Amino acid sequence: MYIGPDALMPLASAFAALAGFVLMFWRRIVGAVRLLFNRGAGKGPGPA
Amino acid sequence: MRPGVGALPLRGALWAAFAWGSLAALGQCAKLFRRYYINGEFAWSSRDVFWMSPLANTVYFGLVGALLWLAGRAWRGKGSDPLIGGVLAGLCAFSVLIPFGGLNEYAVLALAVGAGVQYGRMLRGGAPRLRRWVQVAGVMAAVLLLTGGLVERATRGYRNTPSVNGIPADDAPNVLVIIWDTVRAKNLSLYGYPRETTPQLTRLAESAMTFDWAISPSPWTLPSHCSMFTGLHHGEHRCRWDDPLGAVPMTLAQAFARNGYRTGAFVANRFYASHETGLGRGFSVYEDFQVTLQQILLSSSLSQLAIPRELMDGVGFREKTEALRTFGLRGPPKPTAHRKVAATVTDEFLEWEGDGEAQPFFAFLNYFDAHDPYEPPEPWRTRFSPTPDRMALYDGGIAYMDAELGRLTGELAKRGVLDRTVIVVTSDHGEMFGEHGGVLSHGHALYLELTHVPLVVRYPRALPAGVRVSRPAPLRDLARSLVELAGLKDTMPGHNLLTEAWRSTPVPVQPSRDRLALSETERTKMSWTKGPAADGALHALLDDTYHYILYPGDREDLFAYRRDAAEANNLATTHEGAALAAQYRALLPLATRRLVK
Repeated sequence: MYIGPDALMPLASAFAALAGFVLMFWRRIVGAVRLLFNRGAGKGPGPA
Repeated sequence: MRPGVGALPLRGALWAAFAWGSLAALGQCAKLFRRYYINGEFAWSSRDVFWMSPLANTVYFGLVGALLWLAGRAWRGKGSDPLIGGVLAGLCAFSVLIPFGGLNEYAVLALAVGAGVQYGRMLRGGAPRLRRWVQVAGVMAAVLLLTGGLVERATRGYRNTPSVNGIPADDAPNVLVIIWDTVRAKNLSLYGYPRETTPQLTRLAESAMTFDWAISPSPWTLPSHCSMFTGLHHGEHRCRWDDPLGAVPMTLAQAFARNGYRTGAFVANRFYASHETGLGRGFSVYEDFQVTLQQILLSSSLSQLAIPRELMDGVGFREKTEALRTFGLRGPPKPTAHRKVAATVTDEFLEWEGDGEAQPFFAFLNYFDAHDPYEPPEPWRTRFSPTPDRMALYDGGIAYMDAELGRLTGELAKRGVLDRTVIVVTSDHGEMFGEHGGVLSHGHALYLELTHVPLVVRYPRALPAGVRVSRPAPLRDLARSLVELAGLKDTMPGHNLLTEAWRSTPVPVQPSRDRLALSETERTKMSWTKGPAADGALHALLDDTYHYILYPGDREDLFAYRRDAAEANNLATTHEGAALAAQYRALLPLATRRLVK
C-alpha cells in the first residue's frame, strides 16, 4: 500500500504533537502507567 | 531541585542563548546543505547563510534569553536556569523542525515545548555537565559554520569560473547585458506607449539597433534567462519551477570567461535568478543577496515565523504591535522583503567595473523594480498619477529603471568605456494586467503581453545606429549574437540577430522554421494566478505575420498580431485560419528538440 506525502505529513504532524505531549507530561504518564500496572498486579498504589 | 541549582547570571543566560542558537543554525544549515549541494534543489537561501544564521540566531535567542532572565529576576529575584535552558532548548528544536515543510506548526510547537520541558527537568535535577556540553557543542557548531561560510565566500568565484584558454583581442569590446525583469514592450514609450516611461532608452536607441518584435522564449524568469544564456530552447535546457539549470554545453558567461573576459553579475531577482538557478556559471562575481542587517536576520529559520517578518516589515508602532499577536508560519523565508532596488544594482556594477584593469568585461544586470509587488520609490511611484493604480505603479517601476539606465550609461561615458561596450537592454518576459479574460501576472500564458519584450543593442563600432528591425527576433539567439559580435572562438546555438544578412532575409510565403520564434511554458505551479498553463504545457510560434498558440487539449489560437495588437480576433476558429494553424502546428516538433511536458 502506497502512502504518499499527503497522507504521511499529517501523520508525522500528529506523531510530533503526540510526542510533544508525552514529553511534557512524562512524569505524570509514567506515574499513571506505574499505578495501573501496580493495581493490575494486585499491589498497592506504591510509595508516595 | 537540588541545592545550588537554578540561579543563572545574565552572562550564563546569554551563553546558553548563543549555544542553542548555534546548534539551531547547524541543524538549519545541514538541511540547506543537503538540499542545495547534494540534491541540487532550490534552497531559497543566500550562500552566506552559513555564517549569517548563527549571527541571526544569536540575536533571536539572545533576546529571548535576556527577557526570560529579566522576568525571572523581577519575579523571583534571580534568573532561572531550568526555565531559561528549557525555553532555549525548545526554541532550538522548533527552529530546526520548521524547515521541514509540511509539518503542522502547532505540532512542531508541541514537540518543541515537550523537548524544552524535559531539558528543563534535567537541569532542575542537577546535571552540571549537561549545560557545559551544550555550550561546548554550541561553540563547535558556531566555529564550524563560520569557517564553512568564510571558505565558501572565499572560493565561490574560483569554483564558478572556468579555466581560461584564450586572450581577448586588444579591441575586444566589453559586453553589458541589462535585463529589466517583467517588462513588456507595449509599456515602453520607445515602442509607442503614450506614457513617457523610457526617455533614456529612447535616447540610447538613437545610436543603437532596436528590435520591434523581440520574443522571449518563456513567460517567466528562469527558463527565459536560461535560454538567453545558453542559446537553448526551454524544452532543451529543462529549467523548471523546482529544477535549476542542468548540464548544458556552455553558458554565455563561461564562453566569455574562457576567452579571458572578466565576468560579473548583479542580480535583484533573488527568486529565480539567484546563484542557485545555475545562471551563475562562468561568473567570477555573482552578487544576488546582499549582506545587510535585514538579510542576516532573515537567515534564521525563525524568520519563517510571521512575528519577526511582520515586525521587520511593519512601518509604525501600531503595525509592529499588531505583529506581536500574529502566530503562524509564512513559509520559507523567500527573499521578498527588502528588494534590491535599481540604484543598488547599478552601484554594485559600477563599483565592480571601476575595480577592473584593462581586461574587457562581460556583465549581466538584472533589475526587478517592475515586478509585483509594484513598489517603485518616489518620485516614480506617483510619476504618472497622484493616486497610482497597478498599471501606473508598474509604469513607475519601468521609468525608475530607465532613469538608472541613464545614470549608468552616463557614468560609463564619463569613464570613457561607453563606446567600446556592447550594451544590450532587454527583458525576460512581460506581465498581464487582466487582458484575455482577466489573466494576471506571468508564467502561465503565451500572449504577446508576456512574450513581446524590448530589445535594444548598441555598439557604435560595429552596429548601425538608429535602425529598427521588424523581423521577429527570438531572444534565445542573443547568446550566439553576442559571442560572434565579440569575436570569441566559441560558438553557441541559434542565429546571429545582428548581421545585415539576417535582417534582410526575405519573408517566405509559407510559414518557415527559420523565421519562427518559439515560446514555451510547462504546467504552472503558481496557484495564486489563473491562466491557461494551469492545465498543462503551452507552445507558441511567431513569425512575420501570425502568432500561433497551442494549448492542452489541442485548442489553438491564431492571431494576425501586427494588425490585431490586442490578439482579440482568433483566426483559428475560421475555416481558412484552421488550415493555416495546422501548418504552424506541424512545425512545432521541428522548432524544439523536446516538447515541454
